[in-house]
Amino acid sequence: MNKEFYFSKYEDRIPYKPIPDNKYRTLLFQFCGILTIALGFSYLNWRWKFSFNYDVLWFSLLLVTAETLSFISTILIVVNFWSNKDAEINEPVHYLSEIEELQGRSDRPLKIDVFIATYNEEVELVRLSIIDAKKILYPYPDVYVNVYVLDDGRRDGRNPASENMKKVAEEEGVKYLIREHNEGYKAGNLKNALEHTNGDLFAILDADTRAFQNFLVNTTGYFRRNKVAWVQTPQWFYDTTEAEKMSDIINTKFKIKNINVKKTIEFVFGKIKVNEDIYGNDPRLFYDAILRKRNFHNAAFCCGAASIHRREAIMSLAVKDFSEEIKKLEEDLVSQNKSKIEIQEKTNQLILDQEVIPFKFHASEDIYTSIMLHADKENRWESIQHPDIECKMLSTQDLSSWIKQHQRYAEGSLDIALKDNPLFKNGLSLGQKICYFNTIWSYFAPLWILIFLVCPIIFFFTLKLPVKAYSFDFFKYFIPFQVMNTLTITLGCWGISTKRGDQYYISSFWFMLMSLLSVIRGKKIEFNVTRKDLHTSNSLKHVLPHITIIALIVLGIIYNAFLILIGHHPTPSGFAANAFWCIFNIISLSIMIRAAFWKPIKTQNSI
Amino acid sequence: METEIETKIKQTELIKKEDKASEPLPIKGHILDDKLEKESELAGVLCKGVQYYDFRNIPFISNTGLASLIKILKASLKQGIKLKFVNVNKRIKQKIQTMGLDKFINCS
Repeated sequence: MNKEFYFSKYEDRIPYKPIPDNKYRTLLFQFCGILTIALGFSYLNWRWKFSFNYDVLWFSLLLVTAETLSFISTILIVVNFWSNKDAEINEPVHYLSEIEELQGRSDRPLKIDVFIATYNEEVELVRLSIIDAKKILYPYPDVYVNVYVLDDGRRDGRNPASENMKKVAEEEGVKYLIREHNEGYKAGNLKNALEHTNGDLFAILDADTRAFQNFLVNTTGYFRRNKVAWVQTPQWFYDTTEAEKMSDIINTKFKIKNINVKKTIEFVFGKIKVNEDIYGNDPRLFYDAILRKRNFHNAAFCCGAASIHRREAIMSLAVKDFSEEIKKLEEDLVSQNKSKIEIQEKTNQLILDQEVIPFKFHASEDIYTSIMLHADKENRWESIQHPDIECKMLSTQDLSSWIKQHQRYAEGSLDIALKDNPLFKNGLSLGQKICYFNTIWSYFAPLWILIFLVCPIIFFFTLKLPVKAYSFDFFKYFIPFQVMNTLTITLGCWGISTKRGDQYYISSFWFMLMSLLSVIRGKKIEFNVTRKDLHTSNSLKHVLPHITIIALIVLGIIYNAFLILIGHHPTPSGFAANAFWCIFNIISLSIMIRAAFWKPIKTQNSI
Repeated sequence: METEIETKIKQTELIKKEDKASEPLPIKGHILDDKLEKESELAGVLCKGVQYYDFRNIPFISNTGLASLIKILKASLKQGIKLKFVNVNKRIKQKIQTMGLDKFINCS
């Protein structure tokens, strides 16, 4: 129990406070957002009508298509960020009647379950989550808060070679649930838990999710609104890498021992800090801006860990899905003019085969289940993104794990887009459709990012511009749109650093592209449990596309600079514009290269 | 599992016992309402290949309860037994209907 983990040194980190709402800032954002969209239309209108370089029409079309697709993102973001509507925080619930109509039942104190889902995580790490879950406070002593470890790894002592999770659960005095298969992965694990428990509300924690004491006190009050199906709290990764002094990195890298040289390096580079959150894990932008602002559209989706659910809502979805599947089959059989006996036989068989599944068995079970609940026309379930941090979690500690995790998100969301697109989903409001589509659309971004990265390289080696000229007309349309766009995004993400997020948005293009192709090819999505321990992996293979693009940019710049020097460059202004754009691209791409080669400092006894 | 509720089936006054009493079908998870949970008992009997359950004292059914009924339905189908819920109140009937289960959950 006294094991020292790599994250032990971060235990005292304090979570950020949510950005306070400000109606004037929201109004200004709305004004700027409308202006950005208007200017964007005006710019693209000019681009499509008057800016083509007909000598290289394919090149012009390529770039303008990418710009248009990217502009769709801008519109979606403006809608997503349109307003902030934090739900009113109520007192924690005491009795069942406060969250549900009793309909003839007698009233009783609420029952709450806390699920800690685990698969292969180290048991001592899970123990930390159990200990914190046991410390969760609730103001009413007659409200039972039961903690369950849901061990999909079946580490109940049957295999002496593996760790014993059951023993840890017993030592900590919490309940332990397993099943004999892994069907449906985490969603299946939760299904099993729901079949064996009876909480009116249940919280989902991952193996590494450490709940704060007021987790339930601050969140159960939302369920007084009897249409609230779930409350998601922000996932806060408290182990993101610390900023390192540039001078320390230089001294270590070049093994400098001379004190005078060290002093000089300290003087020049001492104030420069780099590598803070090198893997871009900090999800604040997502939780404090993107998801939180979806409260306005009732479109904040569940992200699994650190969420609380109303059992009745999730079970209503499960039962409805079951009956709809049977109904669908019956209708199919009737339309095929099958005999009554055959219909009955096949229906009975389906009843036997079909399961009652609360959380969709899908790689993105959280978002998919959220879509289905939001689309429930009879119940009109509501979701809430709670602004304050109520739990702390661990982040991925190497690039390979980061890529696997984000590819699973991407493939899951894209799969939903292809099979059950929320844009065409009956029951969702327009705002919900746009917000869900925004999430899905963001995974198509590699298409236009790749074009933006490649276009300057095409220019450097063909010396052809994708526009007629970088003339006054071009800048007249382009600059106001870009300035207003930047201002709008700044207002939308007010108070939150977007630097790392922007860099990873660009530099993850390759993996997102691979995910897109994988889903289009119909490849089965694998559910990988994200590694949260400290380890190193060979990441060079992941950044070869990045290195290639940067190398081509550098070569192109040298080649063009040489042409300018000898006076043979046809468009020096084009070179200047593209070179400027490339600086931005290189900075963005380089983050992943740095992350690939970054090595954490190993401490004694760390895992 | 510790939390499972094994529901026993007892003969009801309503249904004349004609067949040998069946082995109880296990009902797992919390079903129906707290009263039942405490008593861990749902009245029922097997009669001429039909398993009857008496809902006389059941005022309400939750969605988890409905999921449990589906489980009972599956278990009875597996055994080739028909299922019928009797003395079901209006509210529960309506819920079964709303959830689209009325086609295969037979209640009166």
